[in-house]
Amino acid sequence: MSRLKYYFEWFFYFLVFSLVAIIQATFISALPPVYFAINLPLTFLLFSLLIFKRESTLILAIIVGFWLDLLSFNFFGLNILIFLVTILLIDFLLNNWLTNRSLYSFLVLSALSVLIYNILLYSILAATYSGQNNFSFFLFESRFWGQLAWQMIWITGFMLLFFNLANSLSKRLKPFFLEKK
Amino acid sequence: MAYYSKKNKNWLWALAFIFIMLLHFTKILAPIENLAISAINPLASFFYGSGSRIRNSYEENQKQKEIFSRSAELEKEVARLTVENAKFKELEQDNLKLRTQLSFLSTTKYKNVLANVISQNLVFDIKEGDQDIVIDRGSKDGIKEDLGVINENGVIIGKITETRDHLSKVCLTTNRNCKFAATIYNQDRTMGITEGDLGLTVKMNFIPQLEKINLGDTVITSGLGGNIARGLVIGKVSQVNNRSNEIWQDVNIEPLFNLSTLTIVTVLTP
Repeated sequence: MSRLKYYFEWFFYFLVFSLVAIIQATFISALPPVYFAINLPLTFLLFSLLIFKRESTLILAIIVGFWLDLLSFNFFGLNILIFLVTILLIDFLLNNWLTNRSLYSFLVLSALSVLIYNILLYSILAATYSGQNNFSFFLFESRFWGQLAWQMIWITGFMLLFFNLANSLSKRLKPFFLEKK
Repeated sequence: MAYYSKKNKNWLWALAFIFIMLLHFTKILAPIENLAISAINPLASFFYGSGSRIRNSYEENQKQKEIFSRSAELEKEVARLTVENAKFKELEQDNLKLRTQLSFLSTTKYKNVLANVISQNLVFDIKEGDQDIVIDRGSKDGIKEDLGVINENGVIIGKITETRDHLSKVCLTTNRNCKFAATIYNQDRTMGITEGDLGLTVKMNFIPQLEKINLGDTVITSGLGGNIARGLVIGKVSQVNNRSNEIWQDVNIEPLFNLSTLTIVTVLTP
């Protein structure tokens, strides 16, 4: 019975994360510029990293990346690779430097995840398109930094919302503060 | 020890990634991918349509002020066009009669494939002025590269640049890499190549200075671009840039479609 529940749970997560990827590729891509910066898959993967084990999040990253790769015309595997590497790096930071699991750590982690994700994505795309005559390097593009700033604002906003919501439901993510005695 | 086991697990993820790539490039995953794409197409076009409507209303709000100031000007234009339209209707009637007499079965020999737009660029355009959309029809529906794509008004919006079994990528006329053989409908029937300009307008360069081009002249496809029919409207001339000390002149063309209202398009197949 518990095995069945386990499979059912995974089927549910598969559906949710597939829907998240489809919404990102279709709905969010059609929105005006500021809302276009919402990175729903990365936000959900971060939530998942805070709640589940690293291995589970990596499987969900493959699911999300697979759908995005299917729906985009960049080379297949680009999104899977970027989500896997981003999650591995964020997990490393979470376990080695930002270990106190306070709200502030999570907010810093969210901003860092956006930075890692975008640097990885555009570095690979830059390497792919570098042969084209109208290519301009992304780090010198004001639009890249503008988009990055909006993505950080959205993801930290979502994280703030999620953290407070999770805190009201469970004590697992309760924020704490170091007090001087 | 824990470090080593974790490191080994990282290698397992790398192997899993390579395994998925292998399955994809050896086409073993192809049936699953095609099934997945076919299954989500209705959902994808629904989501894209919803997003597109939001974008449209957002843009309309932005343009509202501009619209008010232009409305008076447009009213005059409407009056003038109504008179012109009446003349064209007469001509259309004549044309229809002549076509019937000449036993024309159809005005075009091109077939159509109707498609839903399901996505735009997933990342901001790393290549300046690059604008693409993804449609839910692919090579299995008879679509191939370089076919023209029109909107519901018959205005050409772009051409197919890449196809998969059930998806195709369309570069828009405003895309810098999207080039069309075109003719300006002026006295000289000026011919040239159009290309997108910063993802906003269309440009036609290297036009000899002697050619006379007027603002508002219609630009159409010339039919010399292979699979794209002649006579499809690209846009109207909005600016003529000619300096007396230069050999060439160029024109800016205003496209006659709005990206945010594009949800259904037609691919013209031979």
